[in-house]
Amino acid sequence: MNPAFLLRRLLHGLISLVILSLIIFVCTHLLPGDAATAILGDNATPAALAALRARLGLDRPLPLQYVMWLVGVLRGDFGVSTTLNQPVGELIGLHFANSVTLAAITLTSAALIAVPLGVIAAVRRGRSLDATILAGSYIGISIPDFVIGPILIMLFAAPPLQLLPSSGYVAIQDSSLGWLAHIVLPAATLTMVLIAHLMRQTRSGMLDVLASDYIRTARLKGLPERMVLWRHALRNALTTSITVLALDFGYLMGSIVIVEEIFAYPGLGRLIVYAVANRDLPLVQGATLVIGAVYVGANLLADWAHGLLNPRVGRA
Amino acid sequence: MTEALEFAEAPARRPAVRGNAYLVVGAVLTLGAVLLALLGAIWTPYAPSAVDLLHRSTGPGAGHLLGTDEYGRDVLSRIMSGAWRSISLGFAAMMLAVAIGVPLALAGAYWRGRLDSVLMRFIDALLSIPSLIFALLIITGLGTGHGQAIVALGIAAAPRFVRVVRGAALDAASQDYVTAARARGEAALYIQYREILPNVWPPIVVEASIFAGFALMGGAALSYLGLGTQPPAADWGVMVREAQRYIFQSWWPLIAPATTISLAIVGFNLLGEGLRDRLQLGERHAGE
Repeated sequence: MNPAFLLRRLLHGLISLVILSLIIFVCTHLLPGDAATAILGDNATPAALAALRARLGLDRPLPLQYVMWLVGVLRGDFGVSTTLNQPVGELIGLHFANSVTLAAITLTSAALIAVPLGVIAAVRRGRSLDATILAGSYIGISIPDFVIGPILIMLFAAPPLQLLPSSGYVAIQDSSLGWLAHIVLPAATLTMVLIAHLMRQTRSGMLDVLASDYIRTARLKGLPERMVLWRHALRNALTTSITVLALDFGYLMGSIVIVEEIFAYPGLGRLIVYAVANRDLPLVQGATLVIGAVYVGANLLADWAHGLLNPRVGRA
Repeated sequence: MTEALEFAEAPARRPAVRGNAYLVVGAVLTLGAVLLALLGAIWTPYAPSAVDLLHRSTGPGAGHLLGTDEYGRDVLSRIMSGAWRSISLGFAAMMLAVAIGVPLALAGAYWRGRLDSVLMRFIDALLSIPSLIFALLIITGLGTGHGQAIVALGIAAAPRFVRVVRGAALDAASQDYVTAARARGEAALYIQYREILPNVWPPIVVEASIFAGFALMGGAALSYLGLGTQPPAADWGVMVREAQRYIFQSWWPLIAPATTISLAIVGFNLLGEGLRDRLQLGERHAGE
């Protein structure tokens, strides 16, 4: 594939990140009240506030503060959380792995369930099975994550079943069974959110493939239908699904924030909600920047995968 | 790409009959939700926040059609007053997104050049932030509350409107009637709003309808996270959050708002898709 295309995408990704960092900085400086007032509280004397501001660099002009923040971030220094008194980088590191685990489980299970269903729906186009699968995905898209989660809790964690814990987290080193029990419901919620969308996309991709000339050629030259589907159509439909899956990552990142909060799962999303609710500005800045970077990275990966699978992309 | 985009993704084109069915079901559900909201704004069977300790967690029955919650508050009354908050939030956020997005899109499509390319670069960057994260950032800047949630969701969705409307406006701006208007020496704003805008309303309407449902969901999600409407005021997100806390005691305070919000979102989505089919927008599949 064309390296200039990838390079251009990379450049666009970097510009996006710079603009994101600007937005983050502006948003965290809109309200009166800075890190110094957050640390010392409302009753602090003006002299103490001024001293702390000088120490934290908050007395300098905003553009300079922005540059200092960026330089710090590039060095891996995200500042110190004002409510937890811990380095932001450390907090993000602690929560990041949990979110990645949850996301990985979700993406895998969603792909394993949604792709076959989408293919079946496309092959059985217009039949009752297709209609059922489509209707199911429609309902799935319309039920919000913060509704699916509590309903799963109601079904599986509340009496009479009480099969699974309703919230919390156990490290896998402590108890692998406990870890599994705590991750089932969050992962199931996210999977249900994702399946609906992925299924529709796979169906639509497979329909495009089935309507293409080379499938008609394969049929015309007398290949058995099963061969046409499995050998010719499926391979191309799968490439669409892989790209969609990569793009769905962004969709997943919005949902993961909510799902982590539903199940009190200690990931990056819950950390962000905590930071926003408690106006912990350094924590908001660091955590949103990391999420944005992951998102931009995932989009780059999707572009790259798309280019690899479809050589026509990026030629122009 | 934003979450809203996922809902707006073009479905396979289906026969006009199905499109009409979507439109009808969507319109009925949407109208029902709007009527519930309007009624909830002026009248509810009980005061939505009235605590009745003698009738806590009573099941659905004659006195309380949808039962009462853990504090003895009437679930139906809370759903009705919550409908007003949730639906008006959806509409307000949608109008804000249109009000920001459409002028930018028209200006970009009309003037093109450097202004347009800088604008689009910025829009692309904004679109590459998950929109919930963007909304959370704005809430960090504005604080929590119902009004703040409207502003946050509206601003977070505006880039998407710029993208969609600009595409249509670019087409319109290259038409002969625009060239003619330019040649007549019409003012730039006259051309943008009197010549181009009337020809790009279909995508705006479709997008707005789908986004109203999305904003409704986003607003309830923010309330669920504790960052939108603040208790004791009720909206559907707050209700789900509180019901979850007492889920081991009773389930109807959860099921009632969960069903209502899902139906309302289905309504707005179907309405948008039905309109899209009716207005002949969206992708077509080869060979159909």
